Amino acid sequence: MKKILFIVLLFVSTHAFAQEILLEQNVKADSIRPSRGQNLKNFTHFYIGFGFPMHTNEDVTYTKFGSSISFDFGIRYKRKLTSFLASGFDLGIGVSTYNLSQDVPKTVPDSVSNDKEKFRISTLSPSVYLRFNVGRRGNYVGNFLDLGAYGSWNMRKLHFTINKNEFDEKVRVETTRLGYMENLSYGFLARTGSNRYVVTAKYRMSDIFKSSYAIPELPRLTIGVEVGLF
Amino acid sequence: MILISGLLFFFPLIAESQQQWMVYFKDKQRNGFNPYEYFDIKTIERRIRTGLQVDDPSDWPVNDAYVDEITPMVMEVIFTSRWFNSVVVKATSMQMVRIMELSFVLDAEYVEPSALQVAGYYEYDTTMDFEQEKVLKGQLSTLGVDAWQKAGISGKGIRIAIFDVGFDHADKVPAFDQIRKENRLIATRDFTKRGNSENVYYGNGHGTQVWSCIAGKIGDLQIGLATGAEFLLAKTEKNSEKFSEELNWLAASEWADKNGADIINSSLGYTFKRYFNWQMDGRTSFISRAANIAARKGMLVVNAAGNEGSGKWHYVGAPADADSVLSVGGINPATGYHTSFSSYGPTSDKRMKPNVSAYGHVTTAAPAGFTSTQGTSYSSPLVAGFAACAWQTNRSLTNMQLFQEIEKSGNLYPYFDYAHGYGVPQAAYFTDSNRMFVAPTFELIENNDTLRIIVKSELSGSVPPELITDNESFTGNPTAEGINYFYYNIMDAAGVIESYFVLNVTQPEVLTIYRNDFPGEKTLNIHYAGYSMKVKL
Repeated sequence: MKKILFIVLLFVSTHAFAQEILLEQNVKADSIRPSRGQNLKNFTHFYIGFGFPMHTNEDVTYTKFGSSISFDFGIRYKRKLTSFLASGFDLGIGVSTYNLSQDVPKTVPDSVSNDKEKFRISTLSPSVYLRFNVGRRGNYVGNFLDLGAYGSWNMRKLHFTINKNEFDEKVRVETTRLGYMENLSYGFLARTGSNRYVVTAKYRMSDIFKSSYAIPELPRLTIGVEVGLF
Repeated sequence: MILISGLLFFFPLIAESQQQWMVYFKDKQRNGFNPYEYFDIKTIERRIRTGLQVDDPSDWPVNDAYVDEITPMVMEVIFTSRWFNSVVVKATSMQMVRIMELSFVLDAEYVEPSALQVAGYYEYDTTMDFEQEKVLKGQLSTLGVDAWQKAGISGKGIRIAIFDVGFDHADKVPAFDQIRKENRLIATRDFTKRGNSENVYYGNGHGTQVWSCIAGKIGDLQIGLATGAEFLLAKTEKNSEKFSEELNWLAASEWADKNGADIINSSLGYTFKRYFNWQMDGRTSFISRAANIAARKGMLVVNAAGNEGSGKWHYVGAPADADSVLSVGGINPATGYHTSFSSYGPTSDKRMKPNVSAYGHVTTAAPAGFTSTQGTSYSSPLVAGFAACAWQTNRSLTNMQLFQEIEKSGNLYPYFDYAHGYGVPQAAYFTDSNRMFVAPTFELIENNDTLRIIVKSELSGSVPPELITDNESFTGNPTAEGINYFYYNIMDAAGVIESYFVLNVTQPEVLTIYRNDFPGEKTLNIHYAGYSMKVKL
């Protein structure tokens, strides 16, 4: 009996209420200054984005714009250095699909024309960046420019073709473990954004195909958009 | 200088792009400044009435020679501020480096540039549904509209400046017909545009609704309390929370001061996009510093507490954090106590805010007709209208004396918390010198370490004011639906509330407190049904 009484008293410790609490505010607890936040010392958030490979003058292999696309999802950490400068890193997973043009002369990965032909590369990409903020702001991401570099582990590399056979059936051929493709790649990145809305650009410096195979490169530049999930 | 160098280091592109800067000067002279020529006669009267000097150095014009020297060095001079002894210019960072080398320049601050808006048109609808009528009645009756009407008080002779995002169609909305007819709209100015544009009747209807909560009247139907007041309308915002809006606010304040404003209503606030919680100390944000100067000029600055109560920010914004600003929180008409979105106090340096409260859900005269809306944006003008009426009852009060009197008129006074301040101001405090004070509405039973508070089952009788000392209060209007809530807080030795509560009373024994649970010097403050008590724990 004493035990039960003790437990009851424990629950009714500080204030014993016989009434319904409509409003309760604890000022002391609210007064602790946080260190995590959009413009505080540490900020971590998820992001999601997509981008399109863009042709530059040096590209030989042409991909179809629109259906060639990359999707990214990751987590980003930002460390505030000053009001105007921050640094951080990302860890993202992504899937890039290159829908290959079949126009002659076709050279990637071979000269055989198909009804449809794609590369699909799944990546795990760490990156580092420096962030330059513009404008005064409170606990708010604000307007920024990120410059950085990334590396990618090309975890899964697929090549597939789709052709119609003589019976008008679609035949899909999927090839994995592509020996002519590099396992790792790297490049530079730039992002500019306002709060959670970001325009991204990635430029791959490394070749995606092993040099010994002499296959023309896929587009190096990807431009896209990203949304911070916070 | 460090700021400018930093910008140049990190943003080479900025060096050649045009930015807005506020350049502060080291000194200024009187240079034949004549306040009687510069100020509206009402400004002179206000300053004399409130015991201020007719002019002081902050009123003197910025040194023309300094402005003349800077003008050819920048792209554009936008405006000068007498109060801040500064000039706002459009200049590149390279130009700013040269300006900072001038011997008369004290400092410079980067401010963001601005953009413009356009208007639309509506037919006016004067119909109201039952709920709108009920809320409209409540938003005025809780502030004592009947008492003001009975005393013949309508804010007559008081000049109110309203700073807002836009007064869409306020030049046509019938709620202001009487004001226009009697030429009580003294001046208008759009501070978001260059030049001296007087058109404020475009863009957003927020200011139109705010104005109606101060002084709107259609026929005999009152929407605000100060239907007899005079007005200055200033558009200072653009829906964007740019820093330039704070500059606009400063420019509008100086303009309001020059044009004889007694009260400024400012239903706006700046929070996380511009500042951090801990900067809400009334001294850091630009707009709070400007608001405090406005108060020092003898104007009563009334500002919305903010709508961040249920958001991450939670606390009042700027300039509601300024100590000389009467910050107004929101009451939910359906419950009669704090409405969830109304921003809480205290300030980051632990001063009480908001100061008072009023309905946060209202019926207003919008550009298209009557409408229901919510926000402390509307609590503030309700109190600004109240303040005009209160000032009319005693013009000898200074603005800060009036500030304190309005706090004292709160229905919770002397009790306060950081959700309601002193509660809803009551007209009876100003109009009824024979008002009756409330007899104790609860009993305190002390037994060793335990305090029990028992609410009296019947609230009846009254005692004369002289019998009540520290616990004095007065009969206010009952809260919505006639409900009386039980308010209490725990306060530390420095007078800062540590925690506070509102309880719905359903039985006589409302609260038990164990003294041992509160080590140190703590005070229990209690309020119930118009009666307050203070108990040392």
